[in-house]
Amino acid sequence: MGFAAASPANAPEGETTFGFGEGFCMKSYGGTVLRVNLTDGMVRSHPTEPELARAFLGGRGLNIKRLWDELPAHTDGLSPENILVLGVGPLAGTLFPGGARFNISAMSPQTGILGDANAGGFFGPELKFTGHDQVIISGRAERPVYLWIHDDVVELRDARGLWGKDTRESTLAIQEELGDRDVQVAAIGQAAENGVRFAGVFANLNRPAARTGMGAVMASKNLKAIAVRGTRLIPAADMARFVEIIERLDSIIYNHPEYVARRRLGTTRLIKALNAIGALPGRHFQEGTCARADAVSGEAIEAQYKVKSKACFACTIPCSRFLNVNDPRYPGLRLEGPEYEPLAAFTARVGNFDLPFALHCVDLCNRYGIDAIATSEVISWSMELYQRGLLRAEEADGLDLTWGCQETIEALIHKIAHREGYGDLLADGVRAAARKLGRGEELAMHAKGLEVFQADVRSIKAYGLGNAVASRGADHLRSEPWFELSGDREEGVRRYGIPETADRLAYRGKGLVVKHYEEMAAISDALGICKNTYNNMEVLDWQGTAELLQAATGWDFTGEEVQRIGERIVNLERLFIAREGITRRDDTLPRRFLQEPLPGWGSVLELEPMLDEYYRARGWDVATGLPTSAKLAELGLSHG
Amino acid sequence: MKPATPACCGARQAECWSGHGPLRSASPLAERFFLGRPPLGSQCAAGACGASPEPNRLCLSVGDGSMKRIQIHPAACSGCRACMVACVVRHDGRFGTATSRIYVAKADAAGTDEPRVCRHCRRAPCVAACPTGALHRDEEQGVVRVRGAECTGCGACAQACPFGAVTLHPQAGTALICDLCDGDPACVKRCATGAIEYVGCP
Repeated sequence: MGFAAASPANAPEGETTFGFGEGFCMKSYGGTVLRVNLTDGMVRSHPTEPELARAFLGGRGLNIKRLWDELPAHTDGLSPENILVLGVGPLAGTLFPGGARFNISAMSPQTGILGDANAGGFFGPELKFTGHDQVIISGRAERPVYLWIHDDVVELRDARGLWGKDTRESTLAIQEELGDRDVQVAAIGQAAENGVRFAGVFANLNRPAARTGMGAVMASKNLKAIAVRGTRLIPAADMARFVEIIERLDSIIYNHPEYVARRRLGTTRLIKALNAIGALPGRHFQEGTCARADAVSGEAIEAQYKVKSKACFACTIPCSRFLNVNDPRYPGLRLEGPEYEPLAAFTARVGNFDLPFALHCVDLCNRYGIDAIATSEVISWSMELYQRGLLRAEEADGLDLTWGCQETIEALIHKIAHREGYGDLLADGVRAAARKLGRGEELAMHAKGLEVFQADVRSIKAYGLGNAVASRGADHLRSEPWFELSGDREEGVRRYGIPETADRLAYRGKGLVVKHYEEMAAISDALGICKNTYNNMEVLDWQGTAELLQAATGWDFTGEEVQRIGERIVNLERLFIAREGITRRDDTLPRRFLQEPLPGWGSVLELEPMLDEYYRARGWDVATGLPTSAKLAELGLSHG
Repeated sequence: MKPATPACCGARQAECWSGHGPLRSASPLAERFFLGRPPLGSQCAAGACGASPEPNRLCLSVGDGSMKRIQIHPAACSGCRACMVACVVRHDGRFGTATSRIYVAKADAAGTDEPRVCRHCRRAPCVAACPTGALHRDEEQGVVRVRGAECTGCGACAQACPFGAVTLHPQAGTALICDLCDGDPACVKRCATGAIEYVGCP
């Protein structure tokens, strides 16, 4: 098999003088960018550019910079010309509670715009400890390979024996082959190999970077997995100061009112919380509350199956859970997770209230390597079409598409992963499925081709706006504007000058809220940290972030500069999708949210006024939704 | 290999030091040596470590009662490895895990997390195995210590330790053993779950 070794230009401790003068060292960075061309097997590396790191930090920020600079417009997501970029940020692998995350970005084969997914666990920090901040993969291997990065030794290894294996089998097989269980593996499953366009990349077995089809991109490159093991130590500019700030953060976290619930239930506490405000995606968003929600709640999982709390790298909130599902129907079903999204996916959304079955479905998705959100959308969409007489059983391989039918749900997961029969129609995502079927487009719950998450945004207006404008398509993690759920009107006045910003059903000021949280989300993704601590618990404001970054990097960040970096990332992503033709008319939501009042709660989502306010807050053209040249100049993006 | 059961004190002889049954086996030298970290070979026989969250308050060194030890409760461990980073930050002043003196053995599929750290055994097998005398026991402090200059990196200590608690520095090759941070262990301080405790022996 092809073998290529790379020797980074920098010294073992990440010493570089690149651009910043003699003796300059990039603190808190791995220091190196790795480039792998799968077509000819060539591997090379260069120092991480300090000026880019200062402008985009890392992770999602540096990833979009690469995509913008190096990917031609309208690149086919599944072509060898697409590039796949893995990135970690300066706080990944540090003491930061939740500094565990990495981003994987490319042109999305699912949406045709920006592809970008993020996962926690242990892969990101391990990649950082190899001394790499970013890995840029181009071309297409002749036959299946996996990429093995062990510090500065890089190998493309034969993966023909792994092709056809699921994410779990592949991960364990690679760890065994390399003889080290601490090798962190991000792998694809059979779904990606079979060309499912919403196939993701799975780290630590149950840690999905599953949105926008990054697994499909890997498969198109014949890349089965990326395995990393790092033994580098990463310096900080002022470690004593860094530790001091982290100790303060730990104490904020331990005293946070949500701390106990988070470490007991993680995000699964949202089943009950969203049910109470009419925001569950019951039967494909036909009902915001489900009478049987308690049976599938995080509390029910905790009481019946939780073995212990689990955590991502170096996190002081063990919000994940390891489960042993003692159910004779699913012998040996043990898994970490699930989070709220996949849990609601296979309960409320598809009308199933049998908890072990839902956990079994989540496990199937993780093993096949598919996005549980998209999977639950195409299944529940089919069920609604059937309910409305728009789809006949014969068209769906004779399956019984009644709500909650377990045989059908499970069969469809298998069919999607293998692109068999009716599953083949669904495997490109709901937008493509509706177009191919020629029916049900008005019921397809997506924005920009990405399926809507597990909450009814008619009950949470800022989330609606956030989904409509998100750069990777319908998605809450591009903004996560939780503030509207706080009810703290005084804080609303203090922050945005508008008390209604703290009211989830109000509209006024939500453009400002979403702008603010989009920038926070961009910063957390660029730093390689978790949104639970950074966005939801808000352990650091802009100034606090700047102080931590000063200690980490030695650069004289200000709070304003950090906010500007967030804004720069959001704007560059907007430029990227604008290049693919996205304008204001694409910043929309499924018809159901905009026109059908939520049964029992009586509300639709009035998007347009929020959009106007949002574009104005962004300094974008209100008619087109595109960044103005003045705004781009202000952010230093004029020539980028 | 070493006998399966560690030399625990008194009536708790048969119990695992984690409190959940006897240790199965220690890890083979080759794997530990060449692959950086010992594999998961010495898990609790009781499995899952979910058996009892109640820690077993045993200690190996029956000192004068004032001595404190790091105690491990795998059932409470979330596997986050914050202890490892805290250890490296304290000893090396940098971020990382490779030179940590505490190690959390993780098995993602089984969901187990097992912290391993030096127990500062009174009759320490690592000290006995050390051919150069680099390893010695500071009887006053009750701590096994390494004289770095004398350590040849032969790995005999890592081989001898029945707990997989000794590893070798990935670059220097010398022995990495917990020094209890001179009485203020950074790992314990950072642990969010109480899985590692610094407590006096009864």
